[in-house]
Amino acid sequence: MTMKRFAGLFAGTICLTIILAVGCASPRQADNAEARRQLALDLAKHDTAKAVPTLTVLLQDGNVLVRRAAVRSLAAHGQAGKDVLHQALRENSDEQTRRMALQILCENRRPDDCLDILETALTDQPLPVRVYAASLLASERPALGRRQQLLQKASRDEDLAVRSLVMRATWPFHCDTVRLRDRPDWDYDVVVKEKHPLPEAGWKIAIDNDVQGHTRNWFKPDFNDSAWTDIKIAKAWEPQGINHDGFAWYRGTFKAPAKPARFNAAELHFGGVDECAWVWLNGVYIGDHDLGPEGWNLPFSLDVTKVLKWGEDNQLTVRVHDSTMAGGIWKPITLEILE
Amino acid sequence: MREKILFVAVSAVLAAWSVLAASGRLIQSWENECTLENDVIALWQFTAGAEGQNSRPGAPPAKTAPNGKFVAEGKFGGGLGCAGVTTPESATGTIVVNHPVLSPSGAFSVDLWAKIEAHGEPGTRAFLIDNKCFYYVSDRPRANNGFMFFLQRPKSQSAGVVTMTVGLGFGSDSVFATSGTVTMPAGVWHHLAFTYDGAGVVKIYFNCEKVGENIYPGRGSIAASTRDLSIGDRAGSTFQGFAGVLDDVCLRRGVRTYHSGNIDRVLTSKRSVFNRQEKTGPGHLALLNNTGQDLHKPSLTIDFQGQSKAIAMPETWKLDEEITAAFQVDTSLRAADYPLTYRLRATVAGQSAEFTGEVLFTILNRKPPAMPVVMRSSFDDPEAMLAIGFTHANFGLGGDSQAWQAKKPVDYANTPSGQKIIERLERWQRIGLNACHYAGAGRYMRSNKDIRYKRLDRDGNLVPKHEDNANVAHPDIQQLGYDSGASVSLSFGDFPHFDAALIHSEVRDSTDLSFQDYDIASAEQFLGGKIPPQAVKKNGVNYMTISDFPANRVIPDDYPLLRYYTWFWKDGDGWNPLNTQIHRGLKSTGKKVWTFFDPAVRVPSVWGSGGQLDFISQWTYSYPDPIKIGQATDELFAMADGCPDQGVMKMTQVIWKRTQTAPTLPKNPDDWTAWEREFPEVKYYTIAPDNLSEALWSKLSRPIKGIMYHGWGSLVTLPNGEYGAYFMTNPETAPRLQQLLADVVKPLGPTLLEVPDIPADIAILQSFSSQIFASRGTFGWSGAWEADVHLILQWAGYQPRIIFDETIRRDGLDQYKILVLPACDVLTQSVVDAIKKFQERGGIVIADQNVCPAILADIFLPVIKRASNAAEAKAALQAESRRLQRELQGIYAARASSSDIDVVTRLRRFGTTDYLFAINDKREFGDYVGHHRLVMEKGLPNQATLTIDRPGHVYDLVRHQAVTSRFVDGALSFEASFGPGEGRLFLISRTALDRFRLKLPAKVSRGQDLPMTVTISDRWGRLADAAIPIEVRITDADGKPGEFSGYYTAKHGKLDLTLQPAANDTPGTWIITATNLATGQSLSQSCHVR
Repeated sequence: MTMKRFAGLFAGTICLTIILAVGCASPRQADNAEARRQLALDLAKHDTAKAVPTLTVLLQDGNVLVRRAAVRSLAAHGQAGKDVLHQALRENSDEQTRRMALQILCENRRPDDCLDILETALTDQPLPVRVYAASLLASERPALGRRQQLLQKASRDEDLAVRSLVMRATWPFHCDTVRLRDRPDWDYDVVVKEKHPLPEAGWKIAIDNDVQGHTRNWFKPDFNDSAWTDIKIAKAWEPQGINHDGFAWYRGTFKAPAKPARFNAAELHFGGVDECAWVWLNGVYIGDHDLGPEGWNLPFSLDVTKVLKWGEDNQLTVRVHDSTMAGGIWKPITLEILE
Repeated sequence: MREKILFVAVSAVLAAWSVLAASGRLIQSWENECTLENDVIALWQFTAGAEGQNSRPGAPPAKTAPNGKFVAEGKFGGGLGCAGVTTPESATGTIVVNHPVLSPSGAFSVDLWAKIEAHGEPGTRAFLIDNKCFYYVSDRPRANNGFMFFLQRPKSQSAGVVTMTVGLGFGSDSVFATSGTVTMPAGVWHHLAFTYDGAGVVKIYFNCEKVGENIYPGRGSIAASTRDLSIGDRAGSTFQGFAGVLDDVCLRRGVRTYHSGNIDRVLTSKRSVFNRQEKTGPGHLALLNNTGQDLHKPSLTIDFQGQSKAIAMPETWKLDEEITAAFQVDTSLRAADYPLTYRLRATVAGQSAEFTGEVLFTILNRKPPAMPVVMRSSFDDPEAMLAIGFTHANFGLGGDSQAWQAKKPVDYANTPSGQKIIERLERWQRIGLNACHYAGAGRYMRSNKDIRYKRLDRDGNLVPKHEDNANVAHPDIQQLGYDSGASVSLSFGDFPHFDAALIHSEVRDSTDLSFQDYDIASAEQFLGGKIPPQAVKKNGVNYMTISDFPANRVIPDDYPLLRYYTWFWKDGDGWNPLNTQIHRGLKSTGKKVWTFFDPAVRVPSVWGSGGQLDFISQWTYSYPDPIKIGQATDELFAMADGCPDQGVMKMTQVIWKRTQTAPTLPKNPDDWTAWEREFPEVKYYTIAPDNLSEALWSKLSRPIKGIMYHGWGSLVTLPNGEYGAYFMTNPETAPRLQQLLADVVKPLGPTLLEVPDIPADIAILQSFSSQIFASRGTFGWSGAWEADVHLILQWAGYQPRIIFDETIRRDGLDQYKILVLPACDVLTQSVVDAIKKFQERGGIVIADQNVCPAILADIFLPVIKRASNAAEAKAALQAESRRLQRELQGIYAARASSSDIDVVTRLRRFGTTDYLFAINDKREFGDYVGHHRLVMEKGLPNQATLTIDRPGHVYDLVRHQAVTSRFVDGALSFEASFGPGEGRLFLISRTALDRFRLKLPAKVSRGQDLPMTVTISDRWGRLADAAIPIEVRITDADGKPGEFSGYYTAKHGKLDLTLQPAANDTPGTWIITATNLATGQSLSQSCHVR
């Protein structure tokens, strides 16, 4: 039997079941996907005892949009509907049906009240369910206890979309500054007029095992880092005696040149941070480089035009995350003046 | 009356001095060698043996510059030889050490003789005398003292045509008075002079005929120069020297009176070129007795268009007096040149004399309808633009400085600058290119340093871009907008081919929030309260930084921050109201002009961008995927939807930006393409021809009302090897555009202007609230995920309409089956309510992972980060197109589809007739820029089966023939083949277009109407319920193309046209041929014109 014939037979079985159960659709109506979908939607308003079994059957419809309409209607049938959705979350073969089931099951609930469901969802293979679970987990602050653990788990997700979502949702720092060369309205070539390498020595580092450095104000300019370990940049941290995978913070100071007479922007150019970086200048969050492990050898630049103190000492803090092998600020940092 | 007439350049004057032979030629005093009269301050005559000496005892002598020399061949003996620009560069002419007498107090005059030996490149200046140095406005020290007098060759004029400019410094600023153009052939001596009356009036003379007069109220004496006086070059400079010989350079005290010795035609009608049947008022001809003497018993006769008219004259026509005569242009006559001849007879010094002159008037045929194709360039090359197929080009008609100074609308047509504009307007009209004024009152105010007109941040500091973007919300600038537009309309509103105005360009990019008192008052009035403190940046506030932001990211519609940003982008920054003011000003005289703003969607998705203009437009680069032009066009329709009766135009860049398409030269020079070898440093170069074609079809498939291109320098090789910022690197592009305009836009344009869109059943929401609170949005650059979603839908064969939050609030979602929500992180309550209602009735929501948590999407469309490799990016997006098709199978199908994903279809509809566009998007990396892997610029041939869900008859509107089709299972299918980048347009009508009829009278008298009718019907005579393109060719009795030959549309199967043979047309047989461009049928009929 070919797949096509099987699908046809299956659809026909569903039609028959629907007609028997509800008695509200003609065979002609139920014979095509659009009619079955409309039927599924209509069942939201029918008696639960009759509608839920039919919707349960429609959750296995060969057309995914019929399934998803069934999910939507099940939400209207109280606990009976939710029980079916629980099962759908675990078993339905359509990932979007599972995602919608998850969304409905968690609708109007605080994330702490549906951690079991969310933990299940975080194990879903395709991306959509995990994305939704992660966003819900991160939707309230602060995240404590088991929810924090689940967020930690999500922050290590294999997919950047999930990681970014968690990070964005939980990270209290935000920077909207767009680099000059990335500005869509800047229709001119950007030329680096001056380069000022930052000193490679004189930096401090601290390990952040519980990932709470930012809540301890490690980015503040006046934070006392005298107890931290000395380190150089432009060299990974392992050769300098720090064998660590995870988060660590760098702090250092550099003197900026006098303000040029003519310039359009100033940027800090990082030759390489293995793997991810979050950066503050003079206590102001100026952005991140968070591409996961694949970002370890990619240079990046952050705009500091409005934050830099010209002709004065500037305090720079870099939070680094490394998941494997060598880590740290392993290439130079340069202040670039752009025109 | 005088306001209606215009000063005319001497170059156009054909007046002749023809005194009877017995009397001989009357020599005027200025033609003789200069004598040392009392008013002479300094006179350099370069006499042999005393070359450097000043003829005025005690006045400073001259010393030749390195490239200047005293020569024997002056006008009157010795002269000053000037070498022009030399290599190596070094000053030419002569230098006179600075002296107080060289900066006369009060009135003064300068005259000299000049013989040009070589003209410079177009645009270059040749300085005659100068102790000022700065020939432009500057606030630098020493920039505003002394005087200067120089020639300049206009860019668009042939060699020998120059203007003269006088610059005067008044200490803190300067004025520059320029003459009209004069013809100054090489090798001929000319007398050049200017006078300044010490009170603001500058007059410029060429052979003692006045060719320029400027008035600067409130001026006094010039400021004393601090520089040496340079004769024959620019003071302190070495590359703007005069090339030729100068003689008798004279600086005088007081205003000198000059007489040319002729009857000068100083004034005539503002216009000399008219369209047939144009209503015109009386024309005027003003003549000046500039003979140097009174003329006795004068008689003046005017001969024009077969009529002769004697003008009443006084007994004696006194020297320096003007006489004005009226005449009427009969525009009902056939298109031709009509010379107006005037003849004056008088007694001069007791002898009879006769003066004659001629003014040429032209009557043109009216143009058939056409889709406007605008060249966004003010380059004055109308012939080349017309040859490619442009109907309009940009043309700055001024108005800003005039209106700002006067603080009211002013007619400045009768000024040297107005005269230059009119000369160019008439030249363009004569050859058939229409003028699109560029109106930029807001841009004009950028240089104004008054702090009231600046944008200030919350702390009262100037915003970073304050020099680029004046605070145009200020009432003075709003008033300027109206006054400027009205000034242009007053001055040039009666030129019928000035019919368009581009109002500002790229002004929203650099706008910013501002907190001047008037800004705050306006915002608070709108809000009914204070401006929220979080509002510090124009693009919004990220919701994650707002402490009490709703967890489900649904905000009330009256959320204060949202309202503030709504106000700012709609009205608050002043640009939209200013555009509206200019628009109103332009139309204030009843002038028929269509106005537009471009680029109009460099803003968040909120209605009102551009103001209440007739059209909005947007410029877009066509790479990497040319169907993005369709996406950008749809954004414009979404924006225009909020402004009643506003239409949409679309612009494509002819230029490609190097950094985004071919950023670095290949390491191995052997891998460089031809253009990379020839122009390795270019930043903007030519669009690939296949890409251009596809982009054009993408916009034509939408109901746009006009087309625009930008980047003239990348389309053609500029004359004289001139290069601007753009380079022509692909010689195939201009011919391709020419072919597309000739074969597609010109014949089909009138029909396309009549065919509306079909109602959309898929919508893409561009969410303003998400743009403000989650930094989303395309901002018109078509580079964001939201734009890629549009491409995904296009490749899937769907026809989405872009909608805004406001669209949903106004119209709901009832018309749609599918709603796509890309990057819709934050929504307002009303939008969420509408979406839920939409879903309840069966609507399908497609959304990405960022969608507002309150929305339960039916189909998940994960955000795809675009790969830099264009092939990979396209493949990834098309994979999503296929997935969407699969998921929607059985639930939703587009009305029209293609068997090939690379053939993008789109429908429009007139009556019961569908217009199916099919665009070939099959491409690969070519050998133009393909080696950079950022653009697949090479189109490939393709073929597809096209299907539409209806019965009917199919016609190919490009190839003008019926197409074989089959009707199976309720759908009509037919085969189509495509060339690279090619588009096709098929008309699908309910009935066959069997009968084609042309009806006109067998005979008609000249001067009477000649009505003609074309009909298209089925075999039973039922008129086609369609708009059908028709070509009409009219050949008059002389065998020449007649008026109204061109392309039309037969709406509902019928075209009525009324021809108007002129009373002076040649009698005989006219042949009228009509061609049905859907079927290719052609019919000819003749009419005897008696």
